[in-house]
Amino acid sequence: MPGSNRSAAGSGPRRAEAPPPSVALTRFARPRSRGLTRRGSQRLWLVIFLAPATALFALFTTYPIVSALVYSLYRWEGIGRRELVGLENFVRLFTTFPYSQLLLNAFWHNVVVFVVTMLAQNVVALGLALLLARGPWGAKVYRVIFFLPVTLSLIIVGFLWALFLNPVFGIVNQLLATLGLAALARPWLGDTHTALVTLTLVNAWRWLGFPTIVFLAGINAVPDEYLEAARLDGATEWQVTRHVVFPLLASAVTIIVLLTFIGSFNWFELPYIVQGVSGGPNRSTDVLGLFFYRMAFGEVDTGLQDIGVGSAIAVLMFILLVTVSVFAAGWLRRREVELA
Amino acid sequence: MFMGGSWEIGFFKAQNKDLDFDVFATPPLRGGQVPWVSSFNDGNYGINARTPSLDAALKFIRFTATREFGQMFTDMLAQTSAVPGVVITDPILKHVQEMNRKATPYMMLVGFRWQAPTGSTLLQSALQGMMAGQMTPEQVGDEVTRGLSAWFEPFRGR
Repeated sequence: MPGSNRSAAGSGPRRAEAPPPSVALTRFARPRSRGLTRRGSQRLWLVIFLAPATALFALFTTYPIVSALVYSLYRWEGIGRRELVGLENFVRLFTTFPYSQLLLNAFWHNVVVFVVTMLAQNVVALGLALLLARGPWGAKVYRVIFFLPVTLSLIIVGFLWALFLNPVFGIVNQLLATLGLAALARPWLGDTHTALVTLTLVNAWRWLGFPTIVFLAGINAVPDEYLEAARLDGATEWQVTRHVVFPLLASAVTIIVLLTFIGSFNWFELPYIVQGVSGGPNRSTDVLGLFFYRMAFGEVDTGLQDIGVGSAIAVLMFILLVTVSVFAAGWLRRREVELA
Repeated sequence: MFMGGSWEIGFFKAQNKDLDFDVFATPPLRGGQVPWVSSFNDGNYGINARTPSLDAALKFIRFTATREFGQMFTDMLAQTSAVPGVVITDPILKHVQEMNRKATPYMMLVGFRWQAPTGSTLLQSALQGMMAGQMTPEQVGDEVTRGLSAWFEPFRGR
């Protein structure tokens, strides 16, 4: 590469520890690297390849986050930004009724969603993955069946389950009646005591296939020698699972726990589709995402909005998600090392 | 029983034209008292001052004030029209018309809809709590008053 050699000579000797560029990069870089060092051309190509994704990320993720932070510091009238008010929107959110109560209520519901999802979705998914890993008859078919709801549109899932759970003609209550359990039939989505858990279970039904596949891949990645060695040492199937498979699944657990946490605290689509933006009945399915949406874009009755308070909720959600995710990821990864 | 308003009539009939139903006002506290209903102005027509088709827009807006438009509005949408002289033939809408003779402005839409949280937002959610047996009517009243006190001066400190 004469061009780059000349320029390298001109800019001083290359450092010995510089990694050798990949063959592909060198070959791509050759025609345009005249006047650039090999390392410089490599960087140029990196910039070129990363630029589209970086630009899209900046436009659709970074810019809205920064905008929300700025918006939260202003007073708003409709969509008109007024004077700078500092942290007043945050103070209103935490101290003024009904915002303070709604914030706490929605946050608590997100916590419930996370706990129920961990139990009803991820624990069940782990059980299914362990069963599927044994390769029972029809395992491939079951794998497809479990994963099928994940491919369905959330609109369809929400609409179908709203019909299934209809207190008058829904199949859930009809099934209970057929089984002689008519006393258990209730308006699942209309009862404040059952609505949130019901909705969370519908969500778990929809997503169950995803953690199942992730856990199954993790189990399949466990080397057979480890399992055979444990069995030769006289370990029972449960002991093999508990002391060999589970520790080696730690990285899959980290991913699933983090995704569940982020999904639970960003939850919006299903409650919005099934219960509407109000999080009814009587805010029993209200979550931070719905609360944010109502404040930022208005409720069904008037469309009256408060972008300042809405943005303050978005900022709080962002801080909560980033902080907890970073600490949780650190803790879970340390555990992975200890277990390994 | 379905709690709603006169705007439901057209929708219900569009869903099922043979549906046999009628309406009644919320019963008064004591027998013999006349029930009141709430009325409000919920829809208006306007023209964008900068429209390039001002003449056509004015022609249309004048048409909405004619009896012909009012009659179509009432017949096709099963809504009461603000245009005088419109004849109501729908028996349920006639019933609504009779009830409207003893009407009061709906305070949630007349007085309490101009800042957040609106009266409707507070009331609709609290009423669901009351219907679910979680709140008493007094608690609903307290919650609405407390929520409105965030911006409605006369309720401050109550």
